[in-house]
Amino acid sequence: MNIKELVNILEAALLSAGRPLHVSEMYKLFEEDEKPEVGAIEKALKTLEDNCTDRAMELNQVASGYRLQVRPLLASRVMRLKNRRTRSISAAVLETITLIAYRQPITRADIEAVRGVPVSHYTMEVLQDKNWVRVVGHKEVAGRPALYGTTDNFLDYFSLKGLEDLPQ
Amino acid sequence: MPLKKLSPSNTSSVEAVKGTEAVEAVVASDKKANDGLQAKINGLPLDDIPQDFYIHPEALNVVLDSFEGPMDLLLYLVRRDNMDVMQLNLQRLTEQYLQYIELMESLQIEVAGQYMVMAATLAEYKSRRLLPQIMTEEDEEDPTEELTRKLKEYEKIKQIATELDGMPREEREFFVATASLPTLPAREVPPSENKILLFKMAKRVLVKIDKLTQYHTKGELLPLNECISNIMSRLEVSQKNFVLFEDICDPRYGRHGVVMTVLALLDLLHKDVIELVQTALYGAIRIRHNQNIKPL
Repeated sequence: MNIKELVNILEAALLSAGRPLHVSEMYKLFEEDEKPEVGAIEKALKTLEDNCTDRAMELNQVASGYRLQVRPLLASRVMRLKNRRTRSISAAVLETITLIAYRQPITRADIEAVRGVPVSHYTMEVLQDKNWVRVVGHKEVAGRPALYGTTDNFLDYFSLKGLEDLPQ
Repeated sequence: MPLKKLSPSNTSSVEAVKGTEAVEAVVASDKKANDGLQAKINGLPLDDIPQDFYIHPEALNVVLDSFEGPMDLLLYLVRRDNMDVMQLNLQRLTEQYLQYIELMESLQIEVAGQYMVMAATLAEYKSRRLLPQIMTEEDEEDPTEELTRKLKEYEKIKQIATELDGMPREEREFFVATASLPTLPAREVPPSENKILLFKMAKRVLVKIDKLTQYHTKGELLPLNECISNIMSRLEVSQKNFVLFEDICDPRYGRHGVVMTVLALLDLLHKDVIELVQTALYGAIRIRHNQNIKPL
């Protein structure tokens, strides 16, 4: 298989996956006898990235893997086609996810202690629907409250590779 | 209902009597003692809130922001008076906070419970400082320090949250590129080993669940996301690197829970996150991380 074919296959996979792909997952695109050698996929990804320089999309690496995205410069134009304005995230949800992201693992009670208000059921529902939080364990105190942490999905949404890329 | 924020007032006289300006006049008269400014309406000084004063709560929505909670309100009060968070005057802050709450109530705006809790807490702080220093067993933090610490912490979180909101994000600054697949010829795919095991497990547990549910209670509904979350966290926490179906199925949710768990497992199988293993004939079926993918 030549490099051009490899690049095409990867591009096809990234476009149709519907989610970011890890390099290890990309190996699954190939049968045993045609598996690319070590480093070949990474090289092909670099080629794909270079190929996209003049195009509307770019290759980006986020927490869950690689993903093709529309370039930010064009986003505002594309927005015109979108019927509804993307609803902004409420302050309550933002503050809650910020607390979880920076202090994870953290219980609901701890979140309430900082914000001074109870964590509303609606806020948690929004965060779970977006798949931004997950239960990472339980605190060994009376009641065994759930400990919350953020998901890779959360980082993907903000185009971040890891928690260390969050603002200080 | 969120507490409404009044815009900071720096006027000493009010010409028109419109709802919001009248409210500003009230706030100005608030500060009368401190600034020596006197609020006036039509040339006459305004000292008290008029008895027949009524603003429909909805009317305030248009002009005013709302606070996220008592901490937010406290921060606002601190900033409005240009108080240094590090050098809090607890006395003054408490007075202003309580005045604000009273104002809200007199305007017939419902004040949520947590604001009352904060009012009580502030009053308690004040009382602690009035009482003689008693050496208690626990090291009680100085109230002013405690409040300062909490306010600083909340302020920081708010700042970061705002920064986060400004960061480029999906569906706003960038969009994910997708292309649809051409229609593929339908292939007869036999159910995978995993799925066969999954349904065997589910069948076993369904039988057991029916026996466990002796009394009929209205079960809660278990959302799929939560189910998936639960399974993943159980797996991570498990010391044996696997979990059993029976472990993750909560009898509280009854049959519905079993169905949701099966759906969650199907979803995770589909994503190749987990696999099912049965080591002995009619043995227990184990759920574990997919060994084929190297964990990253």
